[in-house]
Amino acid sequence: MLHAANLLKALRTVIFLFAAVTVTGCLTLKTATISTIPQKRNVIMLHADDSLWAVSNYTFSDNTLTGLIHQDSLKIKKLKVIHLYAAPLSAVNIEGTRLTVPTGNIGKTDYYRIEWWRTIGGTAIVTYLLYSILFSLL
Amino acid sequence: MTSSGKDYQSKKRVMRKYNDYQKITALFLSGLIVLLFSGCYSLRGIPKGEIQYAAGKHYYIHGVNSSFELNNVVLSNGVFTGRITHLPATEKKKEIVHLYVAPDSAIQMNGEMISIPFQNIAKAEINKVEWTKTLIIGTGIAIGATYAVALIWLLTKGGSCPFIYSNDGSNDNFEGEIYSGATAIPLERDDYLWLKSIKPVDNLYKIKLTNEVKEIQNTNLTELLVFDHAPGTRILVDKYGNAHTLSDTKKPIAATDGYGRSLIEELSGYDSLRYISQMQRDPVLKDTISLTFKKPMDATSAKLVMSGKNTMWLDYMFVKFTDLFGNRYDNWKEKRNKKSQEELLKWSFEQGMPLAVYLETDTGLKFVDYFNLPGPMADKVDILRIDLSGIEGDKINLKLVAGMLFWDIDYTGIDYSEDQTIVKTVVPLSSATDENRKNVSDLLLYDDDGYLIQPEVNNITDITFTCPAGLSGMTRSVILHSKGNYEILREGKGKPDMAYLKSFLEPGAFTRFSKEHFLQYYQKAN
Repeated sequence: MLHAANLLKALRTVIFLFAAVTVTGCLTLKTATISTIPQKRNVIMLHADDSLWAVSNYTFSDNTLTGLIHQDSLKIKKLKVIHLYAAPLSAVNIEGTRLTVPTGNIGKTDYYRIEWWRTIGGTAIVTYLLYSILFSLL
Repeated sequence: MTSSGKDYQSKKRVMRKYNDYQKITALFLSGLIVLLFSGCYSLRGIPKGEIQYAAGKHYYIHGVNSSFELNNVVLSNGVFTGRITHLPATEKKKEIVHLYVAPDSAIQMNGEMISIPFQNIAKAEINKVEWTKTLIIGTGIAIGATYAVALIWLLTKGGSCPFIYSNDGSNDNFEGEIYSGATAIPLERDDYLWLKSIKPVDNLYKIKLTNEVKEIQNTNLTELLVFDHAPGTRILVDKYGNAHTLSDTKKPIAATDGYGRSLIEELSGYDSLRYISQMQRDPVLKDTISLTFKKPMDATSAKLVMSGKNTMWLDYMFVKFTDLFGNRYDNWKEKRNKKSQEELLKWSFEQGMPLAVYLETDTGLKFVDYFNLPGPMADKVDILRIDLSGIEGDKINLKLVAGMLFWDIDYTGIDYSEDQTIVKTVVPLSSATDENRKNVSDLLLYDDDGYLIQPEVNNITDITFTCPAGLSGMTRSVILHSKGNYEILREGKGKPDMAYLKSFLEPGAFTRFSKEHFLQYYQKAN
């Protein structure tokens, strides 16, 4: 009986680890295009070479990205951000806090998202399987 | 089953009697981990400067409105050049590097050759397992994976030590393990385990002593040390049996690992933040935690407090080591039982198993003492008194040293307060009954030649102690004093490589064996 209890504890640990790894693994990088940026992504992290700017209040018009450089980048939530990668660095123009870059110089657009169906579904299925096996054996 | 003698055939029968459900569970968990690992390939960004070092054989070039597949790439004079190709359908995901280029006009075609100025590469990605880059392993996932692997092993192979549960009136709560690391008769030792959850029930303290792994566990003595002390103080008993009061424990003001990474967050509280070694592909075999504490100028001694456990990895590697003896395992075990305690402890210490404590002095590092292995299943709060005579200044610097990945530490602190008056009552057991309702009290009552032998998984002994009368205005702490040793059961197979085994006599050889095994394991996973 005690051994079973201990086994249950061990399994709970494994399930927790599984859930942790699953959640971590499900925060996946999703590639997008400029026209398919999700609406709730209100901050752009613009990468060019080793430089990085957080850009808010952005618009795409006349084949140009225009936005304001966000000064407080550390408080930006990962799931509110879209990442744009521009090249070359000289294509990025900055005037004060206003940033512009031609869309033709944006080589990649991506963002992190949680795949909830995989996280919840996977964890639920594995939890169910583990406990089913356990109880059928005890 | 309980007996006072050791019967070799009985041990063999125990080894054959194996729990099928443990095997099945372990197999299932193994499959789960394989699935988890195989699902971990994902696109990861790599710095542009590392493109030429990426392990990819093929390159996808993504322009804004065009894309190509290249091989035979060369990066020279700031220009990336490659030959257009088509990947075979079965190409491994992890061998492809993706390069995102802007603008399209930067992609220059010349026949089957394509060249791209390096400055026009906006982003580079590679399919990669998430936790590896330069094989710095020691992240949470690596630890989790290590624990998962070790847990599977624990369920199937055993290699821990007796488990203690205490009763609080409604539940039996797991408290920890006793005499961990006493894997041979000469290594038998006293152990002092704080029973944090125990409460008297019908004026009795009740505990359970269980064997839950593949071992023969030989317990010589169990008794309670009941301390009544001032509220607001804490009682800990060191490995020598000396009780200490803690009333003003201070956190470290600086804590770093051997690579200079700050551990102050991890080691400053009893919480979920912990420290476990960061394993790197380098020659370092021992992990060194450097601690700095403030010191009153007049302090001549201190009490170092450490809460933690040894890793399952250590137990796992020790059993892997014993497997090297193959069909000579029983002979090796018998030889160990004939060695002196000093000899066995020396070997264990040289291999970095205990957590050694060093004090920085004017003449260099001075060895102070070591913490015994606490077991891998629960944190143990342990204490060592440190002599500070001759240490000047308002700070002390300590180093905690053990083999890489052998310890998992939650907290370190220091207390300079004088030990206060406490009332100590030694309480012998009132009753001890095994799983067959047999009275085994005589075997546990005294430190003598009588042992409670628990050779099988699910051996459980219920032990009760009469609760002494409490003292008004005092707080109570209950410590289990036990003594014993255990032997790990293995079915050794194959002829051992004696020359290789002899190399383990060298200091650090086991630690190297462990590190190499760890790195090899993760290299395969990658």
